[in-house]
Amino acid sequence: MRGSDVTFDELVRDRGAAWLRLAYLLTGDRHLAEDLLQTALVQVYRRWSSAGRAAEPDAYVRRVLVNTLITWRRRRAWWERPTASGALPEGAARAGDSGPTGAAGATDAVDVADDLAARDALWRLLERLAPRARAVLVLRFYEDLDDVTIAAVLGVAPGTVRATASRALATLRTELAVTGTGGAR
Amino acid sequence: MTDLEPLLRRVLAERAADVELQPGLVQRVQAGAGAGPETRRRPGAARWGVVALATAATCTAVVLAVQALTAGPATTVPATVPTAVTTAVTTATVPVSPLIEVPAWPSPSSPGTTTTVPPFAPGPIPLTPGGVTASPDRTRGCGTFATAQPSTPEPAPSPTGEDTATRPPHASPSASGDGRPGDPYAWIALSPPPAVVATMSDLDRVLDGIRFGGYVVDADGRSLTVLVVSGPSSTTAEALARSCARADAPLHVRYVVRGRDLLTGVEQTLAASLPPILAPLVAASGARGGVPVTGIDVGRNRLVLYLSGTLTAGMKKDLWVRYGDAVEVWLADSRTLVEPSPAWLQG
Repeated sequence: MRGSDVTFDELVRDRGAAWLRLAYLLTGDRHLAEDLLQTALVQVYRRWSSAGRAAEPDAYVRRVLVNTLITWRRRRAWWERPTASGALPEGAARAGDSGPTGAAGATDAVDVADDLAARDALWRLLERLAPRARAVLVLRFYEDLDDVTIAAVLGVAPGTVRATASRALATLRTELAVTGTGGAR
Repeated sequence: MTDLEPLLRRVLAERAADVELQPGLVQRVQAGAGAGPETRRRPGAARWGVVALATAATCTAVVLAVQALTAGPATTVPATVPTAVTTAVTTATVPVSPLIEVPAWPSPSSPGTTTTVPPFAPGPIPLTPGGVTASPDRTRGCGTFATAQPSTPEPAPSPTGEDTATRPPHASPSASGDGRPGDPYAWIALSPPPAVVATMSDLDRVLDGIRFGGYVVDADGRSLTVLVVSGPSSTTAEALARSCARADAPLHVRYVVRGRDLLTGVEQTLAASLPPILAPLVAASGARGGVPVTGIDVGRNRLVLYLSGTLTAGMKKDLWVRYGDAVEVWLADSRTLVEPSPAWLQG
């Protein structure tokens, strides 16, 4: 979709939900994601005369979104946001309390609980990553972008993207092993 | 043992699926953007042109300010004139006396400003032997200038304001009762020594309009008298003024009560020019601290009299003969203005 073919309203209507999901994955907080998306879109809207002519307005907005997040991270204490408590997620608790009666059912329930716990732990670990590292992982594993495109979004070299992704994945593996919830390889 | 990357994809997909876009995002963005999208970016050349223009204007302003600060004494005036008393010296258009006085109460419709002419020729200020090495300011005074001359301040004027020992400020030599009446331009021939001129320049920079009533060149033309307004800070003000004294430009200090002393001089000067028949009627203005108010409205070139009682036919005739329509009378009792009329000539 070329910018010259679409208005700002149409673009937001078509892609707004996807951008909000991306913002949520980048921030880990729903309200913060809405703020991030709105801030980014305000910037895009003010430059729409040039942004609208971009070959890929969607990619342009994505880039503004990520860079706005990194700018936020530089300007204020990102870690001020309260984190979730150490309690098990509701889904895990329900799964554990569902009470399968047979031995096989008990084993399945434990597997489900472990899986939920691992996913929840992974989500929490994602929140602790640096914004750039988190953005690399989100763009690679959620948006399915290649390293070159991710590098263009972040304004860095592709090699930096690969190194950042490698370090972030290593950190996640290490942390999951420490918590004993993942055992991911 | 689970592979991390599929787990990561799954986690991200699950979390993202929980998010729904609330309606009204476009409206919120447009409201946040304020005036709307930028329709045209300013060319870089235009931006730099604006910056260059602003820089040039700033530099010009700074240069002009520096020139104004370092320029010689363009004019010599009292540091301030009370708002109620606008008095100055002029050399033109005033046939009666060089004294100019605009009464503040009762207020005739006269302009609030008067013109001032320096009583010396402008030009470069030669440095005195002591040298002028620093610009004085109103906080520290003239600093390291020549040693101040010993000068005993004159006592504060009597409550009646009848202080005639010193010529009042702004009064010209001819108006000071020095035996040369009728020659308001005689002072033009006076040319203060360079040291006096330099001291005057320093005083212009140091004296403020709150603690000082200005300064005058003494009759000998070689010394100055600074008028310090009596008040809580008069001692500090005196020290400040004395710091500007030079060895060859003695400086005296006279304490004044703002407004009253200035008007006292004006009244005394004009008294001689008034018709004798009017002398008993010269009133004392309560607004002026009980000082008789007479003067010349320089803006309209009119003689202003503040009188008590009632003008008799003889008084009016005398006034008309002497001043014509160039006189106006404020009556103290009724606070009314009496405009001159040709009918006054009839008696």
